[in-house]
Order: sequence, then structure tokens, then C-alpha cells
Amino acid sequence: MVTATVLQSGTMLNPGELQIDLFCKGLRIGASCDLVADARQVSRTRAGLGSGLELVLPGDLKDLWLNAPVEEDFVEASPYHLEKENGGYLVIDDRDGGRHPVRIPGEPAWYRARTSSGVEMAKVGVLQGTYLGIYVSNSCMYWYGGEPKNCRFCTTGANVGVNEVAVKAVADVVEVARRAKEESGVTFVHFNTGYQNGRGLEQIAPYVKAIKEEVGLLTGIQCVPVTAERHWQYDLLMDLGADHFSFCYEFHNPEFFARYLPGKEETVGQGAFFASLEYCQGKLPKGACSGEIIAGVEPIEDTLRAIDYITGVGAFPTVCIFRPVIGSDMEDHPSPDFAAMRRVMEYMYRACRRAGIPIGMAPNIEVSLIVNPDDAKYLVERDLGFRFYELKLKLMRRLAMALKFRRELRPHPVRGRLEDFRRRAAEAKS
Amino acid sequence: MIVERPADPFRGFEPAQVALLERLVGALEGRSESFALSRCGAGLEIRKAALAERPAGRPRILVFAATSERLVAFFYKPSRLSFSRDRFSYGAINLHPARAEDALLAFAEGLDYLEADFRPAAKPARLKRSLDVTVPEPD
Ligand code: SF4
Repeated sequence: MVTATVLQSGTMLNPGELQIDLFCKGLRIGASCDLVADARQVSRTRAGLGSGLELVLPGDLKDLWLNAPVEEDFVEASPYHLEKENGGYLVIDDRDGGRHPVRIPGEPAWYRARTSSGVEMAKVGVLQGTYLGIYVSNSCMYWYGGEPKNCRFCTTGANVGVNEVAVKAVADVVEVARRAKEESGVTFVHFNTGYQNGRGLEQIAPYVKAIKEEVGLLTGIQCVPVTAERHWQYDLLMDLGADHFSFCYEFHNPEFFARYLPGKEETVGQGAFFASLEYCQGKLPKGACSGEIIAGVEPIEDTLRAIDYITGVGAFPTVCIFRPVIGSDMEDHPSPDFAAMRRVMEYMYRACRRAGIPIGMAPNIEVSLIVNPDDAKYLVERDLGFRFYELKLKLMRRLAMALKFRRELRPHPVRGRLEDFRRRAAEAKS
Repeated sequence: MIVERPADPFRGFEPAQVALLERLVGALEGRSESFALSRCGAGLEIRKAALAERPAGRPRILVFAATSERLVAFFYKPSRLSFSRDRFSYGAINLHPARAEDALLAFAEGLDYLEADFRPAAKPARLKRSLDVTVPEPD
């Protein structure tokens, strides 16, 4: 049975559609809410489009995580508002009085704890959905210099030093990851550097090794890609324990790429993203890498082409719905239209299915800033093909748990050595 | 003009900084917009004051001492959420007490930006989007 609620007369929204509509329209916070006691701190410690309130939309196929926009100006016009009633939370739709029960994930106790060096743990890393996100180093270099070359939707560089510590010590990251694993059930830690003049992968290397050897978690890396002659850095990171690489090229249309990502255009170009994605995906199991794109700015046909390209190389698409983030250069750009975003997400699910991308494999990884490929299963009919694919994914999940994830979730030595990274980097320089 | 001000606006600032701050506050007095001043942590905060026909503005400027030689005017909007400590940065302008005239010009551009509610078109030329200092926490 599809869990559905009435949107307006004759229109039904299921949890997947509600998730998309909330991404597009945002959520006002009603006076009845007690989010101080009940919610996680709204945090901006990551690159990109996140800034909102973490919510869980219950559903019969799966619960959906969502980082709902709450701070931006367009939210004022949203028909949705959050209210607390009888100890639980509801998203109420003013258009028809529709009432959608939601869960508000509480703030973990470790957020306010301090590491041995005295840093507040939430300033080292925060949960985004169910994984731990860590912005490892000082602000993205695109933000520096006379004329900043930052991605125009991003506010990361503007907020380093305001809401987070600039440089994170490996020991602090290990302590935070350990607490997040023990107390929040985290299985995956995602490292991001922004642009570091081509040194991002090298900067991330010690963190990956330490997490693998001292904590035991799946690790993901997001950096501006290196050029082909330095693809060996990806090999070394795989040896150090990197399980996943994501490549944020955001826009498939080269004109939009150049216009909105001036730093990426000038330093590496769109082709470097494709080359690195293909290189890494070629070395890792299908669906281990992702191409990250933003829907709602470039023409939809370009976004659909991006999905075809990403699934075509065996990676999975992570599709963010564009958010005109408060304080960003694109703050005045309109938030996307629901129908167009629904079309994109349905297309994404079908493309993954067509290409046989194993989605939703890793245990307990729910990304709240995007519509996960397996979130989009709410958008298709539940016919025989759907049931067969779901069954296949379930079996694959069991197998993956037994063969890979169980080991990765225990601390274990890795075969890579940090010295190799330094040695190869020095050799390449000379 | 200034319609609200704290009892001790310059508490904690060094004498050379106070001399510049007095001139910055004088610049506020000379404008037709109504401003509210308050202490915020280790800094002095400026925003458009609440008037009968409008609520207080969300955009703010926090002036604080980065070093003894440098004040920083930090442009931000506070979170709408009572439980969030987030401040949404629009950038910062450096104000050097030793170069007071230049600081006054830069500050005037900053006030235009504040009056325009941080609309992108009014962004001051000297506004630095990325910060090289940690902004002090509010009280
Ligand atoms: S690379 Fe772009 S999106 Fe990532 S932190 Fe830098 S400016 Fe932001």
C-alpha cells in the first residue's frame, strides 16, 4: 500500500512526493514547536546546499530523511508548517489542512561534548541524515583572492570561522567518529575539502587511514578532482581505505558549469570530473562512486542527460534540489518547481534500475540533503518489475553485509601507507 | 540616527579603537535611517531599528576587534530559529584605526548595504566574502 496524504482536492502526495515538495517550498516553524529540546542544531558546517532542519518522513517502503529549508526567504511563502501536538510533530499543509506525521531526530549527546583537545564535537563534524559529515580543512580556496571563484550556490567559505573550527585535528576527528558510531549508530563518514589547490586528496589521506584503523567505518571522499596524471592519488586512497568517491560537477550543461562554478571551470574544468569519476568507478564495485548534480537551475533535459551519463559509467547519481541558500550569491534565484523535480527523481530511479546500479546497499546511510536514489522508489508504480528489483536489492544487501560491510565496520589495518602518498607527491613535484 | 544604544557601547575596546568607533557611531547619527545599537559578546552590533511601521531588520553588522590594529565589521543575518546559534555570513570589511578616513568610507558602504537589507546589487566593493578571523560568539 502506498502511504499517501491529500495535497489538494484530487491530488495525493506520497512520502516521496512530500519530500520533494518540502525541498522545493521549505517549512515554516510553528510556535508550538520545541525544537530546542527536540531537534538537532541546524548546521551549516558542510559545503553546498545544506542549512535546514533534519526531518524523517515515515513511509511503508522506507523512512525518508530530509534537510528541510527553514532559514531562506522563500520559506515564508511555504504552505507547509511544522507543529507539535500531543508530544509528536506534524507537517501541516495550509492549502488543504493535510497533516503529515514526521519524526524530528534529536540532537546526539556527543554534539555538546568536547574532544580531549577541548573542541566542541559538533564543530568537528555533524550528522547529515544518518552519516557523519566532516569538512576537514580550512575553507575552500575558491573563496580566497581578489575576485572569489566560489561555486555560486555555496556559502561554505563565508561561514568558516563563524560556525565551525577551521582546521580539524585527526585525533579530534577520530574521537568524534567513535562517539558518533557508538551513540548514533553511524556507519559512514564523509570527508570534504572543497578546493585545496590540488592537495585535497593528500589532506584527507590521514583521516581515512585513522578512521579505518581506529574506528572502523565506511569512508567517502569528496574533493575537486585531480588531473589525469595524478589519478594515482585515488589508488593510494583506496589502499588507505576509501570506499566511496563523489564528484560534484553540479551542472551537465557546460555553459551552466562555467557560469555558476567559475573556480572549477578555471582550475580543472568539467572534463576532469568526468575523467576522475570514470577512473575511480572503473576500479571500485558498481555503485561505489557518485556523480553529484543540482537539479532546478539548468534545463531539466540537461539534468536527465547527467543522470544517464552517471548511471552509464556504473556510478549512482546524487541529485540535490537547488536551494537558494541564505547568504549565497544565488540567494535571489527561484527555488525549483515541484513537478519538474518529481520528474527528475523518478527518472533517476528508473535510470538506476535500468543500469543495474545497486542502490541502498550500505547499512544505515541516509543522506538528508538529496533525494537518495532509493527514496525515489515512491515515485514509480509498484508493478512486477518493481517488486523483482526490490527483491534483488534485498538479496544484494544481505550479501554485501556479509562479504564487505561487516569487515569494514570493525577497526582493521589498511594496506596503504601515508609515506607512499608523500613519496609519490614529492616524486611528482620533482 | 540612533534610536537605541547600550549604556557602555565601547566596553573592552582599546583607546585607539574607541576613537574610530566614536567616528563610526557619528556616521550612524548622520544618516536618515533609524539604527539600533547593542552589545553582542565582545562586539558592538548595529541593525535597522524596529519602528511603528516595521519590525527590526534581520541583517546586522557586528563590529569587533580582530587585533589591536584591526576592527572587523562582520555582516550577517541571525537564524530565524530560536534554538539555532547559526549566523549567516555575508562577509566582512576590515577597519584599521590607523587609517580612519579609509575606514569611514568603507563603513559608509557597509551601512548602504545594511540599509538595502544585503541585496546583492548593493554589495560593497571592499566586502570580503571569506573571513580570516573567528567571529566572537554572542553572549
Ligand atoms: S568547491 Fe564549490 S561547493 Fe565546494 S566548498 Fe568550494 S565553493 Fe563550495
